[in-house]
Amino acid sequence: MYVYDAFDHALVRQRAAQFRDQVVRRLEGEMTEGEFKPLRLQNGLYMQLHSYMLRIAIPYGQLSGAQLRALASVARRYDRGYGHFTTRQNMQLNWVDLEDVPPILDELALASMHAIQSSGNCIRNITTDAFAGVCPDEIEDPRPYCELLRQWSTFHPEFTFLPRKFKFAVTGARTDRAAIALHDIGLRMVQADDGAVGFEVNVGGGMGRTPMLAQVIRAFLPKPHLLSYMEAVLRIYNRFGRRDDKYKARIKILVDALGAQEFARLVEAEWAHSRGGGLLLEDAAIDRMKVSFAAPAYEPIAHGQLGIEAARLINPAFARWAQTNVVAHRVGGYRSVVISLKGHGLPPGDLRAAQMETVADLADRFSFGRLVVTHRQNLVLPDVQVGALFEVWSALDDAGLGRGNYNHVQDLVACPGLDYCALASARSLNIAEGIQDRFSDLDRSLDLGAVQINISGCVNACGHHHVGHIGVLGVDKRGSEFYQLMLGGRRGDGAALARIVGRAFDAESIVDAVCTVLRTYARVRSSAAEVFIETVARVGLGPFQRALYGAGTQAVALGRP
Amino acid sequence: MNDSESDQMNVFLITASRTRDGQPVYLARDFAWATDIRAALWTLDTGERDELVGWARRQEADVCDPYALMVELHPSDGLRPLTTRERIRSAGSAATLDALRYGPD
Repeated sequence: MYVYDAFDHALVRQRAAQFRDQVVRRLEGEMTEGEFKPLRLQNGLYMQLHSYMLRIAIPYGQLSGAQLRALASVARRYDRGYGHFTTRQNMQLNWVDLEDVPPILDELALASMHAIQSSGNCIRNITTDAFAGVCPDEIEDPRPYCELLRQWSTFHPEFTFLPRKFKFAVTGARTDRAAIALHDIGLRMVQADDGAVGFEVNVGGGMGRTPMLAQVIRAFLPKPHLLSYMEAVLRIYNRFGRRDDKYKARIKILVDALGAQEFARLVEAEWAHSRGGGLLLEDAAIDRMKVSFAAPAYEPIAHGQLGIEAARLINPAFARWAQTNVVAHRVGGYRSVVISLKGHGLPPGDLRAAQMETVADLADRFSFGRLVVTHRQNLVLPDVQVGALFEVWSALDDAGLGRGNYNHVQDLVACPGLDYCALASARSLNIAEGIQDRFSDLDRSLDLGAVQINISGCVNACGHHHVGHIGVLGVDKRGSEFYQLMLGGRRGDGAALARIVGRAFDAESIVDAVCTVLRTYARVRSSAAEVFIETVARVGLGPFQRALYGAGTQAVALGRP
Repeated sequence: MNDSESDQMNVFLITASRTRDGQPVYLARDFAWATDIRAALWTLDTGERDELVGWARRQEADVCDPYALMVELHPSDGLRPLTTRERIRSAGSAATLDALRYGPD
């Protein structure tokens, strides 16, 4: 993974020192909250419902074992002993005191980490495929390009005050696991007929209160032009994006208003002025960056394969986990392991400090010191030998992290909701817990196959409810919590936005409603091989609506369906 | 207070987030900031409400973004916010932690 050079170290140290001074001035009353707010937001510090929340950047989800230990250390020393991994592959501390933020940033800087640009109307943390660099279907590892984009966008003076926040996703695989259609810019690495690799540029996707899918504005962008073309896109957005209405300020609104073709024309015209300039990426620069992401020293022989098969036979829990949470690797004898942060007694994405240390140790012992935060709020050990799987699972299970539920009902995504968030309209964690409790029987969960549930506590959609196979959106109705149920969303290839099935449910009924949907699926699927999202595509919403709103089903009116 | 407002019997108190830790606080009867909503100074008078908000906004070293909060006088709970958001906020971090079953690390 990328290792900070002297410039990076100086940059994050100086930033921490700068913020220390700003915090002192705020605490001593030399600065009002109005003056301080934009400064704290630029350092990832939010004011939430009960406390300050610090959002720590984890660039494209990549962490070393040492960095996860540093996160555990600050969680234990300065917070309440746990952290929350987010859908943007970051980590949030939910209970920090203002005076503790500067020492936290100092400690993070020592571990090559920071909270820069994890808030504000700037280019946020860049996300990518959690299996980047190790998946078998990759055209090219996207991480060197993520890092080039990170360096280009960090403190970019022209893009510090964009009309609104701005999110990149990059994938280098043939299968999109980075949800590129749901980002302001989604970059897909593609191979041309002549074998050259470049980027398909998708612009104008996003969720929130106005969900839209990104559109292709350039089918093939040669790699040397990556930064100059991105700069052209950002310039057009910065110039023409709306600043009069924050709800219409995202680039998706501009692309939609202009049309993708006209937006592309403007970008190309802008790019014509800058494409040959200083942002041209020469092969040598790309190659230098690739060195940071060179493959580790894999051992080509898989040891212990027979032992694993024996363990499968005698340990059903391990067998289930190996079936669901172990993912193919491009190198024979290796697998990627998904550590589920779901259904282990904590809210989705939460991890205690001691558990972080356990995972960090496993990364160091079994995965070349590397791990990844996924945008579905799990962790990945990317490089585990097949022969070590049982030992890894045993250690995870001892730490309460051995559940085999990846991509199944319990592996749901939920934002912090009204338990923490100042913007939320309704709680999401209690709904997540209710669903997980209902599906604690793993065999039942497995019978239902792959299904993704996403829960957001408000229209800002941090829980990505628009692209959940089952989406749940919390809304406030005259001071009470209600939940809209949506079906049919997909991220990745063939991305689609979920559709509302009907009237909203109150907090007491929404978990039953989700169960009704899943029971209906089990009844109407064509075979056990037809997964939930395929059934919804085949039969539409009708059977689910009839099951939900038929006689005896409690559905509380909330406007027209 | 005009007649229509009097008929509705709206009860207001002043709340903010404490600067040093972000914790919800309520303007108390002694004009200090209390973490317990039961200690809050309340008023039925919209003019007095606005004056209190103005006073609170001048305490910016101690608190952030003060605002008036509408509550009801609940027979058992005392001052009870009307919205779920404010009820969760006033219940405090301990209630949230209990609800989420966090224990010591």
